[in-house]
Amino acid sequence: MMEKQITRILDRINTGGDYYVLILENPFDTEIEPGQFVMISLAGISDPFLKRPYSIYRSFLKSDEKPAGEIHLLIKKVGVGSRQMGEVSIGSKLDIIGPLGKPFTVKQETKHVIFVAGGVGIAPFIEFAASKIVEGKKKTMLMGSRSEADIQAVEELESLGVEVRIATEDGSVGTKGRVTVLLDNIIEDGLDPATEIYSCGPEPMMKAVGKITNKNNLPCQLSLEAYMGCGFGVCLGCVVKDKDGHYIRVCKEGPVINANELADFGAGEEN
Amino acid sequence: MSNVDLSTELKFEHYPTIKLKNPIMAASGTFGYGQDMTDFFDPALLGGIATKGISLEPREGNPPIRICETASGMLNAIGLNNVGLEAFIEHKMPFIRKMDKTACLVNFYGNCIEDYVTLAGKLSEVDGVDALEMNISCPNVKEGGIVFGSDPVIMKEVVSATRANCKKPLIVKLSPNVTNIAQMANVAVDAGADGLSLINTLTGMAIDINTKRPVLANVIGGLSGPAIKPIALRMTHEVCKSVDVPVIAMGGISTPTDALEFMLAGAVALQVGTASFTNPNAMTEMITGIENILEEKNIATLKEWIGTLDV
Repeated sequence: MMEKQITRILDRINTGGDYYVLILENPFDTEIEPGQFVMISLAGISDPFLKRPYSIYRSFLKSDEKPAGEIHLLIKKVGVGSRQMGEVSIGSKLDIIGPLGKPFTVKQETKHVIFVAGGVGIAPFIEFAASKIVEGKKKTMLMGSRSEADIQAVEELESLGVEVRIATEDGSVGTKGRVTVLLDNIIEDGLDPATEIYSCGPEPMMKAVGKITNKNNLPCQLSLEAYMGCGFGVCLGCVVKDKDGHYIRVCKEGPVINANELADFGAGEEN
Repeated sequence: MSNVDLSTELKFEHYPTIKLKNPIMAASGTFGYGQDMTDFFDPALLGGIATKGISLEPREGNPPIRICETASGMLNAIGLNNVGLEAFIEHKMPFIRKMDKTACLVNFYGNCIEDYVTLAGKLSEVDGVDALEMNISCPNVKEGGIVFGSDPVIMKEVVSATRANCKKPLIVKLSPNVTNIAQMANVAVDAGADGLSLINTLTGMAIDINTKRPVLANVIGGLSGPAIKPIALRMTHEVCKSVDVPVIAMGGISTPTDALEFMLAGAVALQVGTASFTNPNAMTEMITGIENILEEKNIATLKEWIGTLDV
């Protein structure tokens, strides 16, 4: 159930480079599923005009330990909205709409889950790695970025039992090159037939990941990014083309969509 | 329980009056077909809804990027993405029909005069449709792409032809992209419009200096939101002064105060659109807000407020 609520900034932690984690009170009673997102803006302020969508990085329902509950968002300062949230004072009130969108799903029989993330695309995978649906499964993160400054959340992932492999374009850490090199390598080394792949990052990266996974007949879910007007399905602003040539809404039919259902992401390239 | 009577009426010369329990309607293209908003509020609380614009055939709409934020508003070039007449009647009307105390305006558009005529005829027969809202802000593909609503001669032609085949009140939604809106309103009424709604979006554009390209894939889009409210208010004022048919106003209405301003200018009902994108509860909050303001002013009925602008 989607809701519009008021929340408050509890804390903000700089995590290096242009990145920070915004910690909010969790106003929702519904459990958040990994891959879902929220739309936020400063309460009562309409500049910038539209709310901004952010993947949920971590969430905790209200409990004795955390009476207000918590929602964590990993944000990279890129535009007006993300800069504003990086500057307003702790305690500021926000309007929040959520939880929104379709989450990641994992088949029960799946033994190995591989996350492929680029830059701030790492955001949904912490909540995912911590969730019950991947409990007891082998977890690998293939992380790509321009350089070391963009590498986020490695310790959190490792503490959640995820094996992390890194590629940077400038070679400052890990393998030199794009994250798709790591994906090609892990496929070449041979995967358990019960493997599922999940990806989030810049569109060109996800297109490349979709092509590789479809070509190898590997199930792959992509968490798409888009400009959004509303976030809940009515403005039709955030569409992407499906394999039949129809436009579907990233906010409603997504943001998590199977790579083999999307035109331009390698659908139809299966062997 | 409040003592303010928020009901209002669309009084037509040739059709029975449509009674609205309050003046707030969802604007076309900002509410889907009603179902997507039910998590936030019960759409049956609204005075009315204007559906997504329906065409004869389903339409995919424009490629992305389709929207762009601007100062106090946004541009959109969705491209009239809709399920088409047949699927609308079969899959979308059953939900809308259940809200029998909420007026249903079906918004529709064509690419040529024949499309409008056919759609008006077919939609008039659909059970649960109270009135038709005719979008004339789209290009006439048979006449070199001239926008129907921007040329008085073409507008007169399309409205008269549509009127002749329409068996429900026909509300013409005016385009603001004209020099003299009152003149266009008169042309529409003379051609048979039973009511008017205004304003549609203003055409606009955004450019990305990094790519040196237009932001919207369609290059040009429609501007909406608080940025256009003063223009919409001025046009509502001019139109209400010069025609006698019911006027439904829209254009950047976001707060209860905005709503009351348009009603002072003479609008009998209002549509709220872009405000619902940033606050999905904007319409229900507006209904309560109007009620509170009128109560504070000791005004017992909304009807006493309508058209009482002191110039």
